[in-house]
Amino acid sequence: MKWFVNISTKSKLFFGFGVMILLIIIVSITAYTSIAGLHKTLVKLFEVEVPLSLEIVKSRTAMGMERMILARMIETDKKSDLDFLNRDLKENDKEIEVKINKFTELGGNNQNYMELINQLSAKRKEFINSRDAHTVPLIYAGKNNEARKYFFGTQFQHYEKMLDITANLSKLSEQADKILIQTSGQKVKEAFFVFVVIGIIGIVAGIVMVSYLTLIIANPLKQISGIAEQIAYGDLTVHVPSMQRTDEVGALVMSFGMMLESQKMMTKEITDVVDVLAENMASQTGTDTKNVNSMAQKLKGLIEQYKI
Amino acid sequence: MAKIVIVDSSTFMRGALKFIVEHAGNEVVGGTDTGLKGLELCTGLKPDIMIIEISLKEGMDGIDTIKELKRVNERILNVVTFAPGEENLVEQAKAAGASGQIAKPFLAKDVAEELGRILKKR
Repeated sequence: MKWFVNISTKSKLFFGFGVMILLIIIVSITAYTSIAGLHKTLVKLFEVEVPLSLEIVKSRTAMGMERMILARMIETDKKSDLDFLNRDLKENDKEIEVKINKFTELGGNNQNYMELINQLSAKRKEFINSRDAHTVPLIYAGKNNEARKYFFGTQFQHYEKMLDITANLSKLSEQADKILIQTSGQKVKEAFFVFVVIGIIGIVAGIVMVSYLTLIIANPLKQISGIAEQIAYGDLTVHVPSMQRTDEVGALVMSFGMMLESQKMMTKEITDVVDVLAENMASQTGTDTKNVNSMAQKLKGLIEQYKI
Repeated sequence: MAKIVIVDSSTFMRGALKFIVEHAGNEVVGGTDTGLKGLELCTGLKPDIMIIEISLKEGMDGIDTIKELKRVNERILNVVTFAPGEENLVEQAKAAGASGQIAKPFLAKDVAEELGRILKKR
């Protein structure tokens, strides 16, 4: 990790926060994908499968109603009642037709649905043909016994077949519902797993990053701060640690070391000149003005190196 | 690890350079502020390198000191330090026998690289 120590503090912080931002982006994308997937499943469930199941139930009811009307027609003798019931029968036909069209509209994209819907349409035609060609004319002709035979014979078989087909459609729809619910559950589990994994990675990465940044930035700064405090109290014997790094912390340590070394050297040189001056003053009986002046000039020269 | 003598008019510059040079793993055996004293130190201490300010304030300047040192001891390598505006003197110093150059203000990396480069060549 020497490269990381050497990059600038700004880059270190960018890197540290970048990792966190990256994890947040991954979590956001995962959350969005999961929610979008769940939304898609719910849309399919509530816009296709549930309405289809309802339409199947309604169509079965309408077919049952049709059988009931026909049965009443067989049992009625009055012409006016027959006409009334026959109108009801036609109305009911339309309703069933609407239901079958609705099946096609809802399940048109599914090959299995379409196969059953086509079978139902075909069977329905056979049923209507048989009813309108035989049963109803026989009722109007007063041949109720023969009509009853058709009703319980051929037409009943058609009716049973139609019910079977709608039952199969219903089963298919229920299976699709189950699959969709299972898929939603699976997607929720997957998203939860991803959140947990990324959450753990985020916490671990966060702790590692904070600890590492503290170690390589905060700790050296604290160390330098301690050294600066000692220098402030006049202690130039402090040792500046050697740091082989090229970032701002390394530059700061280097500047500190240079400053301390300069101060030591300057203090030593001033002390040396003062010592010589004092020695001269003590050893000479008469004051050697020239020599004292030269030392004073040297001292001044040293002190003038400070920019105050 | 090379033995180094530093000659610079400014005590601060000598102090700063001493820290950088020692930080790079070398030993500063002596330092002074004039060319003449620098020559005396080099004669006595026989360092590997003398780092000298190109425009010393008192007495001989850096270029003359290098010429003199080359005459006395050819083995000692010379590196000149120069401030902004003194770039034109560097070529003269090189002609006089300087092996390397260091710009002021000193950068630890540049100093270490320059010393490493000339020591490698030796």
